[in-house]
Amino acid sequence: MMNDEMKPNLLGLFSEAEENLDDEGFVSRVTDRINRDKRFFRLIRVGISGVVFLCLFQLAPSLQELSKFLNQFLFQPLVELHSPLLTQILYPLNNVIVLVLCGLIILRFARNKLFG
Amino acid sequence: MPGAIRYSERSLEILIVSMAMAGDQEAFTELVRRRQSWVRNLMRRFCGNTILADDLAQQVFLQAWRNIHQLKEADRFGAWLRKLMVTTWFQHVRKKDVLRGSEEFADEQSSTAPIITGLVHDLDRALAQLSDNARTCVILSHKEGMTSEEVAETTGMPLGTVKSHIRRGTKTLQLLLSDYGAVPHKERI
Repeated sequence: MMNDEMKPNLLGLFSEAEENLDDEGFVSRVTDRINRDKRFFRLIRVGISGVVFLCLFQLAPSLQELSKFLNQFLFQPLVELHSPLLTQILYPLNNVIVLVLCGLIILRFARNKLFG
Repeated sequence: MPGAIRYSERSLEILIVSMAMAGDQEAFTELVRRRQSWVRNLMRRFCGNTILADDLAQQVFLQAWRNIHQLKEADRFGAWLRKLMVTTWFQHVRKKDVLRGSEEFADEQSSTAPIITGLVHDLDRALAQLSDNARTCVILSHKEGMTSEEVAETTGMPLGTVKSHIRRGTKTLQLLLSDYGAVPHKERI
């Protein structure tokens, strides 16, 4: 058995082995890596947004149906209470609202799934 | 008053961390500047290879930059960064285990690391005798001064396993580094 006094002080040895590794080169390598990472993720975001809007474009007929449905049950009764002028404004606006809402929901879902 | 300096240094770091949490890249670069020596030293003890350690340290900072907005309290940055180091190290160990026996792993091991002599070399050689898990526990306990409970929380290992790794690892290190215990510090230099 080793005598307690003969045992090395591990804490002391670890601190003695500690080196000063401050180096600006390392800092710039980390910065470069972060910048590359940012560029890569920006590219992915742009790609995903493009794909999402292409999908929306493909889904447009179904969205038209959805907006018609909304029109029939939600907007039309409201509009009928007011003037025909309001109908002319609200009807096209309705399609835009549906498209934007769907786009936002898909984008948010993709963002949460891909980027945490 | 060194205490006052330490206190203001700490407040300054909390301020820098808060700025980095808000997405300020310049502030994050300052954090890298301040913490690089600690991170690189710890990674060197974990893997015993200076080139690999620097690569892992870069990965740690990259992960830190990506996730710093998830940090809840700015004054816990050190502990959070340490946990990231341990996670990055374990991820590397798992990858290394998958690659074991393949050419890629053989290449990594034969990388031309600078020759280090003296205590650093002896300490790294002694640490290399321990398993990856045992080495991690021993380093966190002796170098970072963490309690067994803190080591268990950081590594995700059961407390009993951590205690056993530390006990056995400490014995092995004391045996392998017994020359450093017999001679007083001053005579060694």
